[in-house]
Amino acid sequence: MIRDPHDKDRLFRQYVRFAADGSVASVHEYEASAPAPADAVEVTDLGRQDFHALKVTPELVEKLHADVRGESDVKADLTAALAEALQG
Amino acid sequence: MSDKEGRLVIADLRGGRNAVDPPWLIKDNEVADAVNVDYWHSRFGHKRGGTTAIATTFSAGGPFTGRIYNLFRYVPAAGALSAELWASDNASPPVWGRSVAGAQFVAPTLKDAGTNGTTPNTATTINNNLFVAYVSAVARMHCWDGSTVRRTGLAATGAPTVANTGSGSYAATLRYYRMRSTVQAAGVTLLRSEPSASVSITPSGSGAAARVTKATAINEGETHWEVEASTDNVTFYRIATVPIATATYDDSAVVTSYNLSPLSALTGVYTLQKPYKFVAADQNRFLGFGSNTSTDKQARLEMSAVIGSSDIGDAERVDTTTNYYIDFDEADGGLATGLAGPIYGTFFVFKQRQMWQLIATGNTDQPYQQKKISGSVGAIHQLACAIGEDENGNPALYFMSYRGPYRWTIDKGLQYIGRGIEDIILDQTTSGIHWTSDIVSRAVYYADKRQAWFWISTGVGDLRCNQMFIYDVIGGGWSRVPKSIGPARMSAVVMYAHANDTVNYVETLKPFIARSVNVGLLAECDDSTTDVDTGDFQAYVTTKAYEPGGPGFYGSTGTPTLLAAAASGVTITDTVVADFGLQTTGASAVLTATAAGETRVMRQMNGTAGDGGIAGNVGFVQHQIGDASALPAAWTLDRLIVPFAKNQGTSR
Repeated sequence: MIRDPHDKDRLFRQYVRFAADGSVASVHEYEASAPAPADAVEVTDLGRQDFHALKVTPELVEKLHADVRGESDVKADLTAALAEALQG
Repeated sequence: MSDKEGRLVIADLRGGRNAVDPPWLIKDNEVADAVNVDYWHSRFGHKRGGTTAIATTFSAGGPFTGRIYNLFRYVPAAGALSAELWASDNASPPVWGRSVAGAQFVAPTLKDAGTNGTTPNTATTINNNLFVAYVSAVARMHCWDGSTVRRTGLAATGAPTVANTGSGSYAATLRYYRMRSTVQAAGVTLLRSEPSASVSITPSGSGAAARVTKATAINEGETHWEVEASTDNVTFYRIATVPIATATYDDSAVVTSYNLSPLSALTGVYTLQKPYKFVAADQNRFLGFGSNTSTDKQARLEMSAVIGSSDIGDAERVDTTTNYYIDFDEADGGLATGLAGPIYGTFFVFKQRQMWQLIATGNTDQPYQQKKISGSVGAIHQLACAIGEDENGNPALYFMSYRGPYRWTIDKGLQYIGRGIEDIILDQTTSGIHWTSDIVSRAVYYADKRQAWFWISTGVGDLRCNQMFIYDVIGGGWSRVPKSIGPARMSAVVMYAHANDTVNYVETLKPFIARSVNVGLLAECDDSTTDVDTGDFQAYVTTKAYEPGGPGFYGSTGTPTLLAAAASGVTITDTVVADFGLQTTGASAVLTATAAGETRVMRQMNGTAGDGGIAGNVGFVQHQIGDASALPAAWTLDRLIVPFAKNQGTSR
């Protein structure tokens, strides 16, 4: 969980959204109790990182955008891809 | 010469110079003059060290083309071994250089070039950054962050623009957007700007998203921009963080979900710092006093946020949502002149004619309680203040005021310490302090020798400091360096590590000065027997006027005996002056050791200069003892014994 320094009573989860080319387009924080957005991948457990510098394959992103309900395993694949990119 | 009846023993002159009171009336441990000497390891007199030039060549950038006007020591988090010497000159624009651990100077990259090299800069280190208050064309505070002298904080941008994008059924609901710039490293936000103005849009209802396009970049090293959204233009939420290279953000979220994102910081939390004139660090706060922008309050002290309160540029932002400033009699007491401290947990604010004490309260809502120490005594400049110790080792603040030097300690409060040099500093005819000089006064505390060094500028046409005084903290005595000689003529001073230091001596700090009459000339003080630029110098003490016969009687004196540290080939000359110049005779002795291992020598002063005896009837006798002329000698004197006799009375 992430605690905002200006709002220390609220906890947040961190998500990223991707551009079509596989790059990270934006980073978001949503209240921990809120449902995960369908088009974003949670990266809270990866810790504070420079996600904007990371890139995944466009194919994975295409699958994510096609899965409007966000119920496929592609999110887990994307999280794993980000974790691998961080290590690499 | 026949023996005399008594012996005058002159051994303790640590009371120092007193040229204000009549020479026959000063205390037994005072002297009529003490020139180019100090009282280091000596109660009688020790010839001060000379000055050695320090190389100011550049390995990149430079060279200095003007006289160096500003010197700072910057110790990064790596510690004293990595200490840097910073210097800037009075060229237009000023040339800056930084020397790391004695290496050649390198010109730092400045975001904003200086525009006035003669204005004294102040600097302080906080949070591993060197904050430098200098005059530039951009009304901002600046700091060195290890790679650039950049503006502190981040400026707000203009408002973003927003438009419909794509096709779809994105709801036609009124909302507001604004943006902030940030600097991130590894995903952690280090700096954040205030928000821009907001822009509103009610989407068409047939688009896919509202496309927010960032405003023109501020070019202050920002790496990201944050998109903030609101439904009422009052409460904003940070809905996305976008790399600075990405110009747009498409918001396809329903406005009712905005409040799931972090609440935006209050406006005012990231207010920019002003181009302060005087800066200092008090524990975890950065303090700025006065402003180089003439329309700003000139007697206002602003405090940064406390480091650690958010860890987002805390030392570089002013949180105007809480008490962030203290005003000090804006239109009274003269101009703001500086900050000094901390001493015993308190800070001091100076104006030309005022001295205030700031007492930390521990309360973030009201960080300081202010107390006016004096409504008539202030400091000439922040750089004319020096934190040191008193004779007992307690912290003390030394400063030059418009009425001479003062000291503040916790137990004694404010003390005037300048009686012995008033004849020069407060001379109201021709040679007192020259108030319109570029650099009126400077001070440093030389910790290793427990001395406070002061400089003042005297005389019309002398645009920088040209007279120097040494205050011996242990004995409370003054000595002086004559006008324009060696270290006396300077435009900047800083305590810095000895040029030849190895790891073991890196904490041995000595005064480094910039000679104000030479382009780019730096010199280390107390480092040789001669002075850079002006060469050999003469050192001596002139004793009080003793009455060998006692009051109301004539007397006579014999050949003095000198006790001193052995010094090969060094000749000490005693010029004996009777009755304030009516008669003069000389005496001398050589301090060469007679045998190996002899550390001190006792010499009758009957050498080539004479035997010093005054056989006739005299009322008063003074001894000027030391170098006969400018010589490259080093010496330490211990004691002078003068035989004397009482003769007839001066009246019957």
